[in-house]
Amino acid sequence: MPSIFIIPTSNGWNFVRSAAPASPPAGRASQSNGGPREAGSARTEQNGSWTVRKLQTLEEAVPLLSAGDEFVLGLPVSAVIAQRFRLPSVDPAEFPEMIRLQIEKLLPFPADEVTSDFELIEQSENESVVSAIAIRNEQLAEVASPLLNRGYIPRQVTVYAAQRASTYAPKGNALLIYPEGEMLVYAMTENGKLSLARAIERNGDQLQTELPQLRLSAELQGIDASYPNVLLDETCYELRATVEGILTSPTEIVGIELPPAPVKLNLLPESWRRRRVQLMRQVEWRKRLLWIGGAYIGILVLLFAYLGLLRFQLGRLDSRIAQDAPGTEFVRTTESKWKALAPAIDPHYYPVEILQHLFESLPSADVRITSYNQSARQISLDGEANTAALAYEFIDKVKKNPDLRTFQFDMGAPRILPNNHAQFRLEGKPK
Amino acid sequence: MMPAWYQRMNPRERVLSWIVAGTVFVLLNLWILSSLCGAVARAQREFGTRRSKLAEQAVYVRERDTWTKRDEWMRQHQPPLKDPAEASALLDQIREIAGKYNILVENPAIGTGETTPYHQTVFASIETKSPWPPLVHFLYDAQRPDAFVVFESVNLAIDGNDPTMMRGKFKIARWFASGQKGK
Repeated sequence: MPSIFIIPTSNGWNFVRSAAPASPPAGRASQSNGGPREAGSARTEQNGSWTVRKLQTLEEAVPLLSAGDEFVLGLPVSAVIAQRFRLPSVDPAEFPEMIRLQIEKLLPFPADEVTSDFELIEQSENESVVSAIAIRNEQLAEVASPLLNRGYIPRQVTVYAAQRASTYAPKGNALLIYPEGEMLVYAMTENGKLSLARAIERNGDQLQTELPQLRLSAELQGIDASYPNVLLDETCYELRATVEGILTSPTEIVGIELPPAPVKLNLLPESWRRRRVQLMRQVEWRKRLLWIGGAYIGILVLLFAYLGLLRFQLGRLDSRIAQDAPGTEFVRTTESKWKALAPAIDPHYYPVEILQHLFESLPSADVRITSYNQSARQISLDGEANTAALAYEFIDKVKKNPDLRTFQFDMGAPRILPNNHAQFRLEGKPK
Repeated sequence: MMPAWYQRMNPRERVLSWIVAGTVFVLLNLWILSSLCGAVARAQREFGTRRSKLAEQAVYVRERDTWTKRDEWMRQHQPPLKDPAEASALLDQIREIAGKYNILVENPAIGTGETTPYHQTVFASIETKSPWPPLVHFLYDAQRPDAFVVFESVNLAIDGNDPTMMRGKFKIARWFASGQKGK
């Protein structure tokens, strides 16, 4: 259900907006004889609230709308032609063509310049009674031009009288009397559908003349107008006695609808519909692009924040390092000196120690060291084993010897001698 | 509202202008992202390096007492080079140890070696011939931590003429305290 309705009133237009996400069902704002509503007043109905803003012209609605708003434009009766037709068919598929033909007969301009719609009032076995509403496209464009010029296309264009009828007189016949601008609207309704409507000047004399004529016209069209339910708008309270005198029927005072009732009647031209779909798609894409852009900017901001955090932490680490540096500089220097002098002061580098541990690592007497060379920081030894496997076993033990962990030992592939012994060479470098 | 210059363009020009603007926009953003990611990666690397350095420093701070003691020990025990006769004295010392174990010393030579920020070297080189057990004793006696004696070169091999004998070539150095200031 749309959340915005723009409807004609005695002093221009009412901009009715839902203030809550959940829209309430059609309600009657007032059934009493209360005075006119104040501009900008808001009232809460059941499970939602609606804000009503009075506008002089449709131009004033523009700043209140935003792209993507779904709104219904209610047309004044003076802008449309409402006609009741009795069609010799019960097949709804045939109605549009039949109504088009009927309207062509009524109007002095081509049917393609007109937008029309209808609502079924009643149906019997052989015929159907429909309420047809038509509006000339040019006139519709003129009425809605302030909105169209700014790219706001309503989701539905309907007739306010039909909305009121659907709200107040969904069953039976009724006569609605309410003001639209300078004019007073008389709308005959059947089962909540508009069957006949007139707009006349707002004064008692005119009422005395027009009301009996309207009743007569209604009866000529087959509308039972003998005991109508008369619904008089609260702003026309002063006419109550006059109306009751003419129609000899009691009148009921009604207020504006919050929100106006939903009606099927839609006079939105096809070109507008297409343009609206296009605009909605553009709005959707704009929203998506905004989200993508927002996400992208968010990522950039996060990255910048992360970079800032890293830089901040780097600064802190640098200051801590700088703070500790004098204390550690001495240790570094001493460590370097200790390492440089290691061949002299660390027994792990002494040949006798290394030879001792190498001999401990010999797997058996079948492995022999034949030559040993050592520089201050490098070792190489040659040997011979009865089998290559023993040579590999020897290197394995050397590597695992914890007292030789100062060096990293490597052995190339042993050379197999003619007597099947394996000659190997082991090299060790400090880690 | 579109600006006038855009309104003056025909559809083809508009499409082209959008393509150019889009390309510039994409390239600009790629450059921004690339720079930003590069900066973040660099900062992460630097952060890792600094943390390692800080951890290393923490270890150094913890071990400061140990290293103070080691520094003190080195200062106390590393001998200073007093005169050029130190090489001769070293050779005499080696000969004495060799003589103690009846090791035959051949081709003795002395000299001065490299000087580093941590030591000045004098050396004695000898060749030996002996059975294996006395040689082990010789090696054992020749080195101890407070003597600052280094075997800069050791070559040991079984004597080709007598498999019960070992042939050894040694370049034995003493590392004196350096006159240069350490780094």
